[in-house]
Amino acid sequence: MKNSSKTENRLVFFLMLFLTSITSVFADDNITISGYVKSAETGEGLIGSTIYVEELKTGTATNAYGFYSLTLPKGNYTVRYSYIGYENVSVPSERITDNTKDIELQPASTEMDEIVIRSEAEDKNIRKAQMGVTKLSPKETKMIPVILGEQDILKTIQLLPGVSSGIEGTSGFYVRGGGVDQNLIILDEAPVYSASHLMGFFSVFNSDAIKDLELYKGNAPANYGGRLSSILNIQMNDGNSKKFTTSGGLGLLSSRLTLESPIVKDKGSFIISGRRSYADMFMVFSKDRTQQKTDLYFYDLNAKANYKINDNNRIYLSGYLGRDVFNIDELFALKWGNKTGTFRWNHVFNNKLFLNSSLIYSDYDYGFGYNFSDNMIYIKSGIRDINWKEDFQYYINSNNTLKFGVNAIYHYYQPGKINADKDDLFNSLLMNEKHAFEGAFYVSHNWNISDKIKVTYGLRYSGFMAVGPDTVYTYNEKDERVNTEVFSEGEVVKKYKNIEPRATFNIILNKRNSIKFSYARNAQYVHLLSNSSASLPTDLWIPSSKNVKPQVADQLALGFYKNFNNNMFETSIEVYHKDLMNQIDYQNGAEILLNDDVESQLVFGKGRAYGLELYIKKQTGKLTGWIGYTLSRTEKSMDEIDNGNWFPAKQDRTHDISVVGMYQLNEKWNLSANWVYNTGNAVTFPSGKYTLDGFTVPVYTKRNGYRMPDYHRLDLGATYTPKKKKRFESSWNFSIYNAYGRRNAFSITFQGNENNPTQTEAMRLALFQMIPSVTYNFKF
Amino acid sequence: MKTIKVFTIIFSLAVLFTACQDVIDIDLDSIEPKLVIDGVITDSVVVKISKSTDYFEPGIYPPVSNAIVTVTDNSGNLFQLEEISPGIYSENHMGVEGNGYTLDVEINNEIYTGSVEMPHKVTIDSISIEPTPDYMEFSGGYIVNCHLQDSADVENYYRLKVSKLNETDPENVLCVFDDAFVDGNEISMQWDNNQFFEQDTVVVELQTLAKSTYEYYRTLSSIFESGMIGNANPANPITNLSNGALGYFGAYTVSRDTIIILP
Repeated sequence: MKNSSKTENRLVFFLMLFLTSITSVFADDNITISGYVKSAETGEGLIGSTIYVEELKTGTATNAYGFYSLTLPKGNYTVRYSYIGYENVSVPSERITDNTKDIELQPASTEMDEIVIRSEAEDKNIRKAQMGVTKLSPKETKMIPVILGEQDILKTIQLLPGVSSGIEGTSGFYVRGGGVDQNLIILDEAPVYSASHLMGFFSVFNSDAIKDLELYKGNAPANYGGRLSSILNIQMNDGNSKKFTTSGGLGLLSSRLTLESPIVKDKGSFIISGRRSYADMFMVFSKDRTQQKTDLYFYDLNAKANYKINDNNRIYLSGYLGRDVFNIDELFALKWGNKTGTFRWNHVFNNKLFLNSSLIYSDYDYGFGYNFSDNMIYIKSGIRDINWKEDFQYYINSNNTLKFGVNAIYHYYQPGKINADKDDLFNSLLMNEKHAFEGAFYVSHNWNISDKIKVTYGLRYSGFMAVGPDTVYTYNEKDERVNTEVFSEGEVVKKYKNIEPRATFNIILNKRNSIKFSYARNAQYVHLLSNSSASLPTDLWIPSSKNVKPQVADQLALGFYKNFNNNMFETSIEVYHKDLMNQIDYQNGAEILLNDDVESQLVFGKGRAYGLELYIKKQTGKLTGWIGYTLSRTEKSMDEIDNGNWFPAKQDRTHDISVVGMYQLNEKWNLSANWVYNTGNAVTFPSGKYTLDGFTVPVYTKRNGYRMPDYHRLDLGATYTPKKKKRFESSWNFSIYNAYGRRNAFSITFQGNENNPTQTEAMRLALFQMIPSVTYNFKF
Repeated sequence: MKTIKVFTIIFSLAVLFTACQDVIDIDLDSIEPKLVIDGVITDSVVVKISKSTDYFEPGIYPPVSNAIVTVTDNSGNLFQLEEISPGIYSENHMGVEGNGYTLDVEINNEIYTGSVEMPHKVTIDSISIEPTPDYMEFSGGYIVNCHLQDSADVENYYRLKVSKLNETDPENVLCVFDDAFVDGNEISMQWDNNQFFEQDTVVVELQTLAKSTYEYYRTLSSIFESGMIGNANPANPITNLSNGALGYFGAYTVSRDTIIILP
């Protein structure tokens, strides 16, 4: 205890020092302009639009709500507001007063500009003290061909260097070697625990309802935390506050419809967007009875409303509801879904201080039932979070911005329960529920030391507390319970805390070149236990506990950035090294399902990941796109597995290449193609076999000692956009997934030959070869 | 249990458009043959000793002769097993419920040991048949149910084997279950792996397994069941043998019953 309070004192001291250092930059002869930058078409706030003063070579960008604040010495300047795909607006200085200034930008008039696939203006990548971050908006990626024609932002980010896909077709992704659960996916501030629909072939994010996304590859500033590898921050559309619009799409597997409308013109708006798949309707035509009686669908609904109370107060209410259903006659049932709700209040204290308060509810539940000896047994599990956040942004002057805030989460876990009737074959069961609090304070300072050196640094102080009611077991080496402790309601079971420093330095060599360096520590208090290669809803989320320590990662990254041809090309080289502590894996032969002793089935160890990422992007012209290449290694070491030797993690991929190209043929036709290649995943294959009791039993020697065959695939797409008629816009999207029909192995299984069972062979399952699709989109 | 199998069905449904399966060449390492002990105590003790082979070799497993094989019970009685044919050692000693037994195998001055406790027997109450329900993947015949009364407050582990008289189950299905959620209940186990037809004589065998034997089978079946999705971390079945030997020293009791299918 003594030690830790010392650390706290030191922390407070550090903060004081830090605050005094920035108060010295206050000066009186300044003016501050602040306000919102919005789209003139829809009235929505534009995230990350640039506000730039050419005479001073200084500027700022709007935050996640479109708000900005810029403090300048008194004088005459021209302030330029710009955002990709919109016309610039320049405001001469004599009109600037020490006041609020809301700006509306007109969408760029030429159609050509719309397909520019960049969201960051000009040379932001060179100037910002931020690395390992990517911003995308669905609008910019809608030309990229995707499987079954369903535009999917999670599939698009898998094409970026440092981000690799999970197994074929799924929306799970790995960032710089981190596990799927080490990505925090937040939708309007609400964590989304399972991002997959239809066993992962679709993601839960309906791109019609999404405005913007940001992915931090482990170097997020201190206002984000809770996961080791990445933060994927997704913002929902606000809805058109100018006029009522309808848009939608009809696809082979699913259809979408979105309505947007002002509540009070220019003051408030709402959007409601829904999606439903109908894959199972084709099952009716199947000859197989089991397939005929199968339900297989998902739906989701995004809704959001916002209202501007006055210039200084704006509120947002947003929600998401998604559900997946699988029923196979009386054999099997599987249901899962997320529900999230967020209430946010933007408050502008003055033209320098902005506050967003959020109250967030997030719920993920999954259940499955199966026929066991003519009895349906239903097992249900879930997680529920209530989350409170206060995020301040203090725009001290054009060289100093301070972010600070607090976050508290209450987690509730239901690992599994069975509700049985008296005469059922099964007994009822209620597994140990878990309750926990997670909290954090943070402060992050964005400091332009000079024209050449910029730094973003900060601290996140996070804590976790598992509380009763709970029954906690400790185990011996044989995984037997040796001690049982019972905790009453509210009693503290276990506390953890972590100090997470973060810093990114940017040295701007000249207008076209910069070098960046960053360090970040991240702590993670919730963990996903998964024993299959696919993302099944039976994967189990568990909180940290007496037996399970929080995971911690340290990441170092170094990058070189260069733009040329008047920012037409943007290139980067980044290297990273990551050390991971308290990593979790299942021991061999672990029993997971409905096991109150699941913690005894875990083994703990460390991980390391390092790699090189190359990226070249062409931002303008008829041909746009990018090439990304990642060379990496990801390894783990656990005392109980292979005697603690380092072994490759299953997501370890030596080479990973993505090539994305889009070509504007004429005003009506856009063509696109992407090609991906990666080294096969690390897998465990048998090396020998023996016979026992009539069974042929494989012999495994090394964990993940083999490789799946290399994966590669070409997708082609074309979009036809007929001339706009009055207010009606439409487009046709055609695509072919896996155009040259590569048989990529989804899985490889080993089994006896059908005719000669003692002769064993390897079977490859290939899922998707040459899948054509067509989607019709409309808007009016 | 069956979950994984059902997931496999789902996957095939989800991808019924273009999924395809074929045999491919995979380079697997060659490994030093390992000692395999398939030892079982029921009414008698039979221990088969052999060596493993490389995975893609034909299924011929060299027997290991001239081992010294002994079984000791927990009262200290020691029985030496006789090699009745190459690599097969046996002794007609009956396993007594609740007794502990230790197997010792000595080969080339290396000793391999395993211990097991003979479980308490649970017998079949009755067998019933019903027409195959129409949600199954086959139809037109009958499926067999086995009824038993699980003993309360005892951890029981079962294995069910159903086949036509004088035939072995052609698919060699490994059906094991424990009483974790059915403790003390009347249990009806449905054999839904295959169906039978009129005039078939069906033999139902209920084995009550020792815990370590169940653990071996459970982890073995998870290798087989992972199916098309692929088990993320397949591993060798959990053994109760020492010194790196593969296989197990298993113990189980047997209850058998027969039914002739008449409509």
